[in-house]
Amino acid sequence: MLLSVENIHFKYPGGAEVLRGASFSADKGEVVAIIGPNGSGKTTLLLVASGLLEPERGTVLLGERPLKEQLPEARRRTGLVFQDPDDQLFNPTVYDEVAFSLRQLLSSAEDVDRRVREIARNFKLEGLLSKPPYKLSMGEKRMVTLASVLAYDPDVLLLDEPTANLSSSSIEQIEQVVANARAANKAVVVASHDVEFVAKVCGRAYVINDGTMLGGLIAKSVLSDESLLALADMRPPLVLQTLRLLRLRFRENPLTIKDLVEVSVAAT
Amino acid sequence: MKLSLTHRFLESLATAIDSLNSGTNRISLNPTVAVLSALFFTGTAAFSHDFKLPLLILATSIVLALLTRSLGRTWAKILLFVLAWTTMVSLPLPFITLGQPVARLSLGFMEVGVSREGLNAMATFISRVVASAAIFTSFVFAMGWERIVSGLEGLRMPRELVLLLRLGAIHIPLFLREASEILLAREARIMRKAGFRDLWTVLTTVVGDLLLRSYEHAWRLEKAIKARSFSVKGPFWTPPSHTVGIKDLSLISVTLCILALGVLGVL
Repeated sequence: MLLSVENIHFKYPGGAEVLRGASFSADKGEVVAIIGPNGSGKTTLLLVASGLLEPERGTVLLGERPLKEQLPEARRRTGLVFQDPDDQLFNPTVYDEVAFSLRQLLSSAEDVDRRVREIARNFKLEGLLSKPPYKLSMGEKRMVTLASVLAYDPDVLLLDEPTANLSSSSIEQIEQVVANARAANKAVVVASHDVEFVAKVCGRAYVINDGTMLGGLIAKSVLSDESLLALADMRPPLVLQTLRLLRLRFRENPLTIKDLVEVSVAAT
Repeated sequence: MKLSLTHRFLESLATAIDSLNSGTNRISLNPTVAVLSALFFTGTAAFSHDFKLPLLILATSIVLALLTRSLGRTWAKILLFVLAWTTMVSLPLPFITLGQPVARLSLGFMEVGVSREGLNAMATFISRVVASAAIFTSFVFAMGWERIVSGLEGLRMPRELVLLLRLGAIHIPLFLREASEILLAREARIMRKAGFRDLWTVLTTVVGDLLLRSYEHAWRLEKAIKARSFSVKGPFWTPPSHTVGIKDLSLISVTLCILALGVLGVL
């Protein structure tokens, strides 16, 4: 496994224990979801997995070696995208935001410039490079946060609620970014509430509740299991809910409209 | 007093800081040279012996503002505010400074004298403050806060201080807007005609929330910076390289001339 988080216990100073034996893993070319209600410890778990918080107990292994021993250099192998872009964007322009990590890794300004423009082209940010990030729309800010992290080509991508407060077209763009990251053989971990998004992009899913993890199974079976989803304060995807209301059953539970079309065509 | 007034004030302040962050960028000055000039001009104006040198610097600031087309209403408002404030503060000077009397005022129960030295001291004080404010703000308006910070970086200011200034410039407007939104949300829940005491209570409740939110935001921002810092030294910026052009040389020549006039006491 590329990233393995084992039996993590974590408590904020003066607070209750947020994580109580949480574990998950993600391998190359895999998209893993961590779903759970608000305050269940998803964000804290991602901060621990990226080495930004040190757990009281438990280990984080990156490439079979403890992450703690590889810091701070190992940060270039993990990319964390925060839930609120305003927490992450701190440079005066979009260009500087994308170049921030590159200026630490590349020796010449020309190389930095070339890479920034390449990333901007991929993320359709060319027209925004000279703008201050905090003046952009939420969808644009989200793309800048992704671009600034993917610019240094990390092996592991950790996304905290990537679809929060986004329009459907922006969500589609995020889906494409995740698909591209998977195709580039990266391990992607998505902490999300958005069951439709998880159904579309994730291969495996864990449910986190009260600091402990359940599941780790194929996303399709987790998202079809109402009792497991109830622990995450979630409902199955709309397609599945509709089919259940109509008392229609297929051999495989379709979770997305695309799945539904496929199983319907196969059934007829 | 109305909450909406506070809201408007916060929003205007955020907008003003936003405009100061970007500046007009009409003249491409080397940030390091410009900041050095701004600091020399401000220092010369602030420590001059009389009002002639500050007036010359005030004229220079107007020329700079005209050249960069930044002589807007906001700039004028700032100067008027500074002028009003310094006048108010220095008003007692003509009456309390001993010297040659130029006028006598009868207040009914007492008579006070106005001295020439006092008037001079007042004029010098006002001109020094207004000129230093005018020259520095004209540079900020012309270049934008970001390029000012870039200039400080060029002057080898401590990295941490530059980072703080840069983060402050970006996050203060965000913080003000957040405060304004919280106020609006609270105002929306006032269902009856509220008196001053009620409104004041609402305003005070915002303070705690803002402190907490600011702390949380700063905590996450620190994590975000750390997440993309790959060396033990922590985050850093590579200072951008800027060339020195004819405009920069002209600016530094004018600065040195005025500085020399100040030091030699010609004016």
